[in-house]
Amino acid sequence: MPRLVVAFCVAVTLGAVVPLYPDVFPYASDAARANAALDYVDRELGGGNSVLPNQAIAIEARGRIPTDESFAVDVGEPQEGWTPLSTPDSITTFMRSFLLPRRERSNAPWILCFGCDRNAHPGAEPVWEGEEGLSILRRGT
Amino acid sequence: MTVRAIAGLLALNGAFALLGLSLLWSLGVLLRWADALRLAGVGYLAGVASFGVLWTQLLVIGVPFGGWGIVATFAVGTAAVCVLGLVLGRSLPRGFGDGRGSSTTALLTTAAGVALTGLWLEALFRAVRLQSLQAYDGWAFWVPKAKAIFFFGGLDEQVFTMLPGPTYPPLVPIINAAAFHAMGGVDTVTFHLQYWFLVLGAVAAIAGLLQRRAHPALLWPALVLVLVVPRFGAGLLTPQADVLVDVFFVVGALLLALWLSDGGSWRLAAAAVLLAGATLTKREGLLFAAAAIAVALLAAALWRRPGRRWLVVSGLLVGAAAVPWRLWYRHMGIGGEAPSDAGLGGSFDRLADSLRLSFDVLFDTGLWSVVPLIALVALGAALVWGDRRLALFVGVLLGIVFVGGAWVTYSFADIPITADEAVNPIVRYTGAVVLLAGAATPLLLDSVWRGREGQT
Amino acid sequence: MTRTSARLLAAAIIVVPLLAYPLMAVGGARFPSRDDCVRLAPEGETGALDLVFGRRDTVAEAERLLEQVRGVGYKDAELQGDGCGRWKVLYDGIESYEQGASSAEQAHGAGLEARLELEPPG
Repeated sequence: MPRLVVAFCVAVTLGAVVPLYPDVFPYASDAARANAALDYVDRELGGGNSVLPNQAIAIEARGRIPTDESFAVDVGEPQEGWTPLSTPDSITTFMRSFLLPRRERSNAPWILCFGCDRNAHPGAEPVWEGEEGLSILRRGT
Repeated sequence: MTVRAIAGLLALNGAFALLGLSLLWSLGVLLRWADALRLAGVGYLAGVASFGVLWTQLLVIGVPFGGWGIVATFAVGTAAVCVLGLVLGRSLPRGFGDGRGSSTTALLTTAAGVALTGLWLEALFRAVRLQSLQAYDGWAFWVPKAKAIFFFGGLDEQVFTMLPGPTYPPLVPIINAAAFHAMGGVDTVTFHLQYWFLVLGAVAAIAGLLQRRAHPALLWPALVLVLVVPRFGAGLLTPQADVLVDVFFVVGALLLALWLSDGGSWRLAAAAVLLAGATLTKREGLLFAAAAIAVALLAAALWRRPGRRWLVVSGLLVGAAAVPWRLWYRHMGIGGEAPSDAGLGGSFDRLADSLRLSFDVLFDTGLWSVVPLIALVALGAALVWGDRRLALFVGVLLGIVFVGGAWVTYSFADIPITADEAVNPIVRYTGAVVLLAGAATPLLLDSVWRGREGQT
Repeated sequence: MTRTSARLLAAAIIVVPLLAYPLMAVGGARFPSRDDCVRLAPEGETGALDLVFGRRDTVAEAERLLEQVRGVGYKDAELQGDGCGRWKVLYDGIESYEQGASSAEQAHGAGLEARLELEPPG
């Protein structure tokens, strides 16, 4: 009896493995293909592609803001073309991570403007303007 | 460049393995080269845990983290344990095997199991090699914390206090920061392979520990099934800390189970290192470690296992390792990890609902296939026909961890009673229960097969 | 089955599939890098070409290179993102491969790095 129970357990385990195990191979092929199809920037941004209205602002911010300077994020009303995931919280969280070692500070010289009201940043001039209401402003240039 | 990054990760993880295997050698367990091969996974995990535990303490006291610090840790750490081994009179492993041949069936079954597992790992390597950072928790706080350690050399106050999960311990960000150094920069694509190495180490550790204690026909089907259940699979490589805390806990618990059965003080030492790692990997790691040590203590007392005081010492060391981090974040003004009233303020209905949710999640075959069911059958069979002590240890530990998950849902009033992972961690938490159940099943079934007369 | 043949069979069971799978995996093993955005023009290319003077990781570094390139005489040189997170300084007034090759040689003579690349689509 005990060995029957053991044999039963092994048989059920094998019976569960057989249909599940092969699934990893098409998954791996599909994932590898999908990952390889992404371009370099898509792959670098990862989840940012879902929350940012346009990936250009992340690349421009990283290329323009020196690593020892800080930035602020100002997200205004959603513009046409933005997804529901483009919320102030998600955008700020993503940029805070992506732009490290640059720090996020409320009174920073660089402002990442996502459809923001530029009047809220007197003295800040645009150094880059993108589509969908995105721009990078700089104070004190 | 990706090739350079992969080479760096290979070197880093090789260093983890060397550190851990040196530790095992100094503990006197590597008598032959075959032992080193068999316990390579345990050694690797011990290396990861000891590196992470050490650097958590160093970062708390302000020691800067950098490339040379990492190299020095491996060099000095490996040298130190080797010197300890020499002082204790250890000699280099002699020969390969110990002459204990296994049957042809066992040999070929093991080969098939290794091949299936290896193929599965190769497939996942292919899938994750160019994976972009998609997981929200990954880019919201796990990776930024790693980047902060990489760029600023320590537990940056702004990053570690302002990001979500400020009480989450820093072991995984430390390992990721070491990976960034090894890769030559913050490569958030290739670093997914660090998680692949961790899974490889986990599989090797469980297989290596159980290889001499369970017939291959019992070990490999169970191990392969755990890997391919829907909730694990590729999810094992998500850049978060859930898998690593489960792995540290389960391998630590297996070591304790084997110590209770066969002794071997090296198992206690290795379990202590892994469980200390668990306490610094995720918050529930403290619960897992405490449960494992408490149940082992109770079992050791009941069965009058010699060496109980060393288990107490191990428990104290595990607890001591967990303290500095907790002091650090309290010093930073961050609240504790438990609900303020220790979870006693909820209603009986909420308690019942929490237990029901945990039960439903555990036995959801869409998540875990038949792993929990088979484990339950194996537990029952072992209680009746097999090693009762092992069954009691595993069963009580599983029960405590299971109830712990229900307690988390019950005691945090703002967590809804739902299996939706976005708002309730019960599915992620149950992974630990399932992994322990799956890993212990071969041991339990083997004891049933051998019967009472076959118990040592 | 002898012990030796059992061991050989076991080794084959492990090694053969583990070696075969990567070889059979469709798509091969590419290692993408930022250099994927560098599309050097083959000799005699007849398509649209740019003369690229270099790539930099930041806009500030690229602007310094741009100033240097304009100072040498390429007044219409400009700065563009290269699609892989870097900025390239280029001159897009190349009308033929031969003209481009000649310009590249002149640029080398002025101490600049310059390569003919295919103009990115779009």
